[in-house]
Amino acid sequence: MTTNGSGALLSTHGLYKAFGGNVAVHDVSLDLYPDRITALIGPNGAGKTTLFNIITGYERADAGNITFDGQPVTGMAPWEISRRGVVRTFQTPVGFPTMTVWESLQVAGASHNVLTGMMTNRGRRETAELSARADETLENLGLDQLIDTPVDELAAGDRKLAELARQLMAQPRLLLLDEPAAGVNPGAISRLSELIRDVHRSGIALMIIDHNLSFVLDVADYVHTMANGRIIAEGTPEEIAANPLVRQVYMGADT
Amino acid sequence: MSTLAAISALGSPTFWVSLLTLIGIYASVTMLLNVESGWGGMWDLGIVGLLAIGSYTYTIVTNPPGEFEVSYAPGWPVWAGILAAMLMTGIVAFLVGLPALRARREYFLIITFAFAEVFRQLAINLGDLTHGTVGFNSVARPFESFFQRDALRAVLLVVTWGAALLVYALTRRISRSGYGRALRAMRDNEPAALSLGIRVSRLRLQTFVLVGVAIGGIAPLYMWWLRYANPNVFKAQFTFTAWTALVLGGIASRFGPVLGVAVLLLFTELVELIDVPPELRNVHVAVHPLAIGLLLVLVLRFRPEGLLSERRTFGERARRQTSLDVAMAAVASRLRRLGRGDAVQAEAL
Ligand SMILES: Nc1ncnc2c1ncn2[C@@H]1O[C@H](COP(=O)(O)OP(=O)(O)OP(=O)(O)O)[C@@H](O)[C@H]1O
Ligand SMILES: [Mg+2]
Repeated sequence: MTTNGSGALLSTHGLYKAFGGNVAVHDVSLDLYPDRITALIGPNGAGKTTLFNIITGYERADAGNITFDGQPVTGMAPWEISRRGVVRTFQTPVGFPTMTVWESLQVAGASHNVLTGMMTNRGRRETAELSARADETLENLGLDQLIDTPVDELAAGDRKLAELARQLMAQPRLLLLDEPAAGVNPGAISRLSELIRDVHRSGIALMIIDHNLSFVLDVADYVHTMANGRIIAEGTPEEIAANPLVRQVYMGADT
Repeated sequence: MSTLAAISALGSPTFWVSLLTLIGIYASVTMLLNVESGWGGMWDLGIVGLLAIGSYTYTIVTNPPGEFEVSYAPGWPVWAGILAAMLMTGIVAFLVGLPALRARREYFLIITFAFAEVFRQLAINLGDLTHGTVGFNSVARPFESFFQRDALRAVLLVVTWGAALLVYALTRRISRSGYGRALRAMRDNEPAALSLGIRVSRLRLQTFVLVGVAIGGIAPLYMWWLRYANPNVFKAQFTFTAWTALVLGGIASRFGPVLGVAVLLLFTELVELIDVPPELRNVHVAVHPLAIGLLLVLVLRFRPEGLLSERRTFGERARRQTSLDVAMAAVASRLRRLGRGDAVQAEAL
């Protein structure tokens, strides 16, 4: 079904990953298009996070390859993939516990090198520009009240948002969100959908893992469903919601 | 030493000049240790090893030819000795860091500790170069021909604190820069740091070498203060003192290392000065480390993060800037975005 090449920002071909005898990702090929919000759903242990880990370089695939923007990125180190514009969030957002929200946002945009890092932040120019960007990002996500809160004192939902804000500071071209709605209180979910659409409108391609189906089906334009390491279905939210196989392995198992 | 002698020591300028110089040296080393271990999360238990490399390099290359029975004595000037020490410690830090930084934190600690001991053994065994266990009983000092003994001591005190100020300025710059934040980020959460494009392994090595070079610059000061070099000087005791001071002052804070060193060294010197009858000498010697332990326990009981803390250093204050700064930057970034013709963004505004 997947079309190869033109238009796809990220493509994976035949990714395979086993931990011991446990196959976490089994022959996964998918194309990700920047003009639609893509979701990845599937029951616990389906291999969704492992797929993110492979794409972002945290795990090495046993087989298969990945291209981003037409370039092969298979086997690259996480920092290198991040610098190319593929940025992910983590399912458990620990963040930088010794920093305040504001400070952790400053980590992303600055130069990290010993020499250039110390030089570019000389004076205030760079820092001031970064601050402005951080303030803007936090405001957009409604986190401006928590700007000086230490990251390890945030509530679970706020921590998710702070993580999203921090990763946005890295100016990604493709953002992979691992369960952004987990821990976010139900009343705030619709606002989260709005935020995510805003992010997408600002020109960032998106792929979202989440277990909250009403959220996923609402925010996504295209959905891949995984089970036991394989992609078992893909399509529009309507198609996925109506797919008997998906209902069986996913919704049936989860509700 | 009688009570009288102890009191007169307290009143003597020589005592204070010497102690304050030592505090300046330890403060510099501990601030650098803090960059590496406090912010960078690399638990280095071999900091004295780098100091030994720097000290020996300086002493060997600056000693006048013929004064000691060694095969290499080029008799370089002091400034060249300082540069040589910095270069050599930098190179050694690179060579040690390359394998050691691949190891996990706990192993890194053991490896650095081991390397420091290896260097000491090398100093003992490379007698042709280092004069073996005897070492060197004189060290070339700057300004020696311009000042008399006491005046020279005072001058070197000022030079030492000048260097300490420089090191402080360096660590302050680091703490406020993208580099410093990257260090703390990778210490706190390596996967998250990587996800922001921080090249963690290279940053560690760069930091280890940077600290090495700087320690190499401090080593000659230590030699000027001590005026001799032998393998006994570079035992792990030095590393432990720096670590104790770091924990006491507040690990990962900015000024904590200086405060910790001052408190610790003043305290230990005063304990040292307490006068005891000869039959209690042994007890006195044994109580010395106990007293340091007690000081540490007391501070950590009431201030678990040390006298100063990372949180105090990097709290809200980190984001204080004039609102003009922020406003200007916001305008600049918006203009730039419009200039780029980013239609989507402009529309979103
Ligand atoms: N580092 C690892 N070592 C061993 N097994 C692993 C590792 N990471 C994942 N697995 C296994 O791989 C399978 C897929 O896990 P993964 O975390 O990718 O699932 P998931 O779809 O993200 O699930 P969830 O919805 O619970 O987050 C699971 O069986 C898991 O136990
Ligand atoms: Mg997961």
